[in-house]
Amino acid sequence: MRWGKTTALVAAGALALSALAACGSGGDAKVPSDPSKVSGTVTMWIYPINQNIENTWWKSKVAAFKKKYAKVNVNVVVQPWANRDEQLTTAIAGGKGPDVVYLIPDQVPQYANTGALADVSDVVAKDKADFRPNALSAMTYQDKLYGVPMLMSVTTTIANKNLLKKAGIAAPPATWDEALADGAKLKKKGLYLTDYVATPDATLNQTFYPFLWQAGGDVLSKDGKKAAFNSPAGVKALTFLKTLVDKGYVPKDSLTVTPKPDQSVLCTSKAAMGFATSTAELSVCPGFKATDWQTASPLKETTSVGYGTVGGLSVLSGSKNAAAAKAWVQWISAPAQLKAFDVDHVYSSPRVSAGSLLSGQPLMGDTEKYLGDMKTGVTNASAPRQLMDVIKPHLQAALLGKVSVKQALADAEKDANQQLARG
Amino acid sequence: MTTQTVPRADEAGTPGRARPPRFSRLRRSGSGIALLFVAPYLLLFVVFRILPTIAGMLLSLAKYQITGIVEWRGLDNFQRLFSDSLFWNALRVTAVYTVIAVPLTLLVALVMAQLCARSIRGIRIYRGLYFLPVITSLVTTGVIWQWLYAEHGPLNALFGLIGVGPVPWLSSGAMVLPSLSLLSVWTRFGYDMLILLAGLLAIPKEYTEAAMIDGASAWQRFWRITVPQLKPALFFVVILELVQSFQVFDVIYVMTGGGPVRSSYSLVFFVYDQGFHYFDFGYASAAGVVLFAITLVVSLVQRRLFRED
Repeated sequence: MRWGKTTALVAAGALALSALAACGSGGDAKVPSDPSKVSGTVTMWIYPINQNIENTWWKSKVAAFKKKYAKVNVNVVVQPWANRDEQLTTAIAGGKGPDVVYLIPDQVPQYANTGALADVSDVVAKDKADFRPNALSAMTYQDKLYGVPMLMSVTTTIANKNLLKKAGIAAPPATWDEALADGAKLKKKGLYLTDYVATPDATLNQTFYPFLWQAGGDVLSKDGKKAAFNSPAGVKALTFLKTLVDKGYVPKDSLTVTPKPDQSVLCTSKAAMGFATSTAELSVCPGFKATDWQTASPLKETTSVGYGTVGGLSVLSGSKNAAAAKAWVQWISAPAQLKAFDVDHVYSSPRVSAGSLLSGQPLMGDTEKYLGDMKTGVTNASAPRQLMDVIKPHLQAALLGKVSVKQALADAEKDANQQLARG
Repeated sequence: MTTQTVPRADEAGTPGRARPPRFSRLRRSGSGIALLFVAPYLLLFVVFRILPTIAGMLLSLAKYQITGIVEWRGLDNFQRLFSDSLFWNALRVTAVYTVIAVPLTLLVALVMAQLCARSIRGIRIYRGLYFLPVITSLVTTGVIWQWLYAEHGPLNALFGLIGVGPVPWLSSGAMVLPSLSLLSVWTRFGYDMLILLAGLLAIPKEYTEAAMIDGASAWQRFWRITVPQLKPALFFVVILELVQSFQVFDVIYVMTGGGPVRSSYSLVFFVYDQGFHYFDFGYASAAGVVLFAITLVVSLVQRRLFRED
């Protein structure tokens, strides 16, 4: 009898049990004040943030760090994006986790909640004021900083100029009403207004949440203990999205099937604009030319707001060289190194003192001004992704017309509150 | 009280003759060599299958954090599982999928095996071609079928020619499991067909020839001779398909992500989500244990049915 897939998890369990002995408490270590007194090897897992340079970029930085911390070796491992949580979880459970890892805000509460991350407040203690508040809050969970922000980017309205021209639209919409009006014009030309992916693997950070925020609502209550999206703002946001579906302003396929990034309706010039889109997403489109596109502020209903991504470096609590790991994170996130990192990786800096780094970049340079106003997702829940997973099917049901908007939100609220109560 | 030792049958006739040492007996019978060859696999099987399964069962009784903290919870995980509507939904989806996919796959495999058992020109090429989907990666298969099933994909284009559709293959809650089952048939029938074909070719031709002389119809020959003779192979294939269906995950993960509205959210998807998505390994293990128990019970029932028949 084959038990393969079921026992895959069970195998993880076996690894997990074996991790009992491997569990350390190195995360309590502080940043060393004397570089000569810290030693050890720091292993950092990073991902292809910029796949053209990732494998080579770190070499010179590690060498420069070594000049200051002579007894510390840094081993940078570039891991694939795919299945990164499975890899990291298994490695931590097996006692083979890295000392430092690159995480995004959705991951931070989840790992912090299991005790896998070390508080890195001391790493930024000297120049905390230089970091943008929304970047820090994105990496904070229960008042503790679990990651030092390394990069930021903006998702906003990005429109295909050729399609706007074809439909006789002078500029991208600024409000929901303008978006609906543009949708009608584009439909007459056989084009979609935008894309809305409602599949289980789509993140709500770039789908429902921005519209909820724009309508003046929020996902959770301030203390993070109750769902807050089943509100007039939530109803307004989901009704707006349902209108886009019902009027044929978005492709119905995307409600149930995730399009391949390079085959999306934006890439294939079937939809004129994305409303929570990053320029990086468009760069995968075949024959992408920045000059064909223009950016605009995030849409507004009661407020203009979009989702902003943050990425940061976290130190694992099980690190046996936590002091050295923190020294490395502090050094690489210092203004000079961080600026080089962001410029070379083509991202904005979470440091205010860095100023505008992308002013020379087409599209990206235009969106940098929205950085300070970006929301970075749900940062006050213990499991933001799990929360999304319980909400998504209900939103999908409403958009497919299986239940009413109000019913979907009420059902989602019930499931979300159950999820939050479990912690 | 005295006791009398009754000599064993093999000892009774050869009094005073010493039995050869066990090792010598193994060597003489060839079992030792066989054990030697089996040992590496057995070792791997124990390390990578049996021990993790036992660990998983233990883990199902605990709350485990990836940092290594284990809190024993008794049957709490199972209690929570049986009151979790998501689990029941996953169980229902898995059962429905199994009910559709297994008979369909078996039927196609049996028909194809019958056809491939005939001595026609180029039959070996056909057999090879039919086996190709089995060795194709399920992820690749999923991506290709996702394209086939797309609203504006080739299948709907074909149906459009006869004025049907577009069929919401993956976007309708009612259609998604039959659609995934079709894919299952395509990927699985080749393997089953080979096993059944081997069974068919092993049936002595004299049986069918005698039946033909007696005037048995094609259906009677199939039902009275082929099926009973094929029973061991059929039993193996049914069990295999049941286990595969209960463990369906890859294609769902690639094609629907468990949607729409969780109408293809299978039990293994539930286990995967709870474990690797939410880090709730104890809970995931509890679901895994339930899945294992269901598979075991169904297999045993199946075994008894085939034996009784």
